[in-house]
Amino acid sequence: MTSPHPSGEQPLIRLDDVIKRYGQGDSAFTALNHVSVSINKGESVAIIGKSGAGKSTFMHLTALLDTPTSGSITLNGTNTTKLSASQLAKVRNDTFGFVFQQFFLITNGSVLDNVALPLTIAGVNRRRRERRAMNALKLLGLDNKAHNKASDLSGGQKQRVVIARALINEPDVIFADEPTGNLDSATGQVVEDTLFSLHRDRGITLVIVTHDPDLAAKCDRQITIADGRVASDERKAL
Amino acid sequence: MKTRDLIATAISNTFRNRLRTSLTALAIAIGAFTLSLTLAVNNGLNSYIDETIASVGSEDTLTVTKPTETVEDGIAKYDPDAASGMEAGAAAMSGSGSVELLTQDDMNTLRSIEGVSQVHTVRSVSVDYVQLQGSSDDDRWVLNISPGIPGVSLPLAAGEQPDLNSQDHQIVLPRDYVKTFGLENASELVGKTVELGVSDPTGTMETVTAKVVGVSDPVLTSSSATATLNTALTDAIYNVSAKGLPDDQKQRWATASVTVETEDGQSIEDAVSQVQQRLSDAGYRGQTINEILGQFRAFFDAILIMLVAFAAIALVAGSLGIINTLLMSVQERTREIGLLKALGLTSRRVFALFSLESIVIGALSAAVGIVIPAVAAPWINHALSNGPLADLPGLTLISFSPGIIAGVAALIIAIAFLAGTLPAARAAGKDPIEALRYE
Repeated sequence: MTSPHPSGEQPLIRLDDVIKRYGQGDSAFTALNHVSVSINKGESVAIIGKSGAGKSTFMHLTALLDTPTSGSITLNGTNTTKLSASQLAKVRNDTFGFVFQQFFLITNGSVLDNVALPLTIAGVNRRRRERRAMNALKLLGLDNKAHNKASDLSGGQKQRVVIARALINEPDVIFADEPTGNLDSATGQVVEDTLFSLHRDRGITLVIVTHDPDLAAKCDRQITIADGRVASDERKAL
Repeated sequence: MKTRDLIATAISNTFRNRLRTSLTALAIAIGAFTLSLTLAVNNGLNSYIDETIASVGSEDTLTVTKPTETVEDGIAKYDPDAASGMEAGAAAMSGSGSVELLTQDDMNTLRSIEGVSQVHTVRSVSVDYVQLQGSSDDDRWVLNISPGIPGVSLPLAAGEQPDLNSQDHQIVLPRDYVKTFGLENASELVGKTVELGVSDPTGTMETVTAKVVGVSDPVLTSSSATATLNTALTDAIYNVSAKGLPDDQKQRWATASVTVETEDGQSIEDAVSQVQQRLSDAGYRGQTINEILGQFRAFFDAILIMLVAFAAIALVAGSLGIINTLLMSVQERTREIGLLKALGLTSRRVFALFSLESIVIGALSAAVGIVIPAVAAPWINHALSNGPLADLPGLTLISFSPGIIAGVAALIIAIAFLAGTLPAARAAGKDPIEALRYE
């Protein structure tokens, strides 16, 4: 079930007949079964489905955090299954931003250190990465918290720090796994608005895994995963 | 990630849990402390022995004895010429075990050996007492004596070396006798005349007088304070103690001192070992002062090996502590490791990060276990040389060298690194997804 290309442009990410199996023999479990999906540049895609349907596995494979058992994943025309672990790490560092449900901040570091982390890993020098981290924090209205410890922030603030971290390397794609799952509705709203304004203003592709139908409805496209297969793939009418 | 950032991160991670890091570092530091102190003491003793060799013996002098032939079980066959009593004791002191006395024939043989320039006989003599001339008979004291050896200079507290060729009776007394004779300082004793009590073979006491020309500081080679005599005095004492013995019995010596001559372009070591070989072929044993002192060294080395073994045990225990601490740390930071890997940190860099943390712990241990004793060493040495080691002037017991400090520090850091490889490999092997899923 390959999704059609709206233009002649090559897709940003393409999954071709991807199978992901965990375990071996009788205990083997197929999390994704013959999945083929293309995600185009600038789309906002919601991945929905029940718990255990394979949403997270889909995201981990798409974000190159895991490798498929068979099939191929192509990023910007490059077959990623042929890349080494360290090449994949570099691709993730250059191309992707990550927002996780549980924030995953380094609690003893400052807010600024946390936001700058992708650039630290990339080997950018301290002055440049701190300047860019400060700009990212300004964008999210958290520049006055830059030197606080990450553990001293509220949940909403933490998630905005995570978004600042996700966009600091100017990624092509931001992967968000239940970004509002741990937040109250008002704070969740702020986080949603931030993500969609980045999508709108900077053309960043969003891939959001969510249970929340309201959040899913805001995306251009909704892919429903059921029993390891793509059950439906709907685009919002423009 | 740049190496500089990696190091900074490793240091900040190490200090995240200060108490745990300090306790882990302390365990290794105990090993480092034992090791560095042991090596420093060994260094101190060895340089003291070297100084002693330089001051008491010349490199070209061999002490010659004639070992008795032994049968299979190592028990010597009876030999009427074998040394007995005090002469055997004196010969045994030079480390030769059971020996035969040297006769005039032996002296001639020694002189004829190629490479030998001088043969000097060493008589074994003893006195019953020493007293200052003119003092009361209550003021008699026991004295160990030994003949002076050519080419050997004594460490002096006052006065001068005995003149071995002088016809006058000259003696150098150990510094301890200054107080014994009720004098204030060593120079007062120089120039005084002493009476030495000597028994002849029938037990009759005679006295020999001698002039004190010098006062000596103790050295390692004599376990108790020993006075040194010139040849004229040695002969005078010997004549009393051998009075009435037949001539062939008089001309016997426990040891002889042989001076080796060096040919052009030949090192002293080569010349000495050639002469040693020839002596051995002729049935004698020639030992340098270095070899005689080798026994002291062997004793110190045995103690050293034992202490190093203790240090090794402490280091093994300490490195288990590092492994345990870092494994706990890896477990606690599973999510953080997952995040770093998801954001693009390679496995190799994760390994490097945790290895650096163990190196930081190792460096802390080295600092505590080496720098503290190195800084404290001068005070400890000062306290020791004014207390228990006051009899051994010139001995710096704890002697740190840059080599010891650098070597032990490098070893501790290497051990810490090795201990860190297991936890670091475990961290590097974490799957980013498993790590992020961890709750």
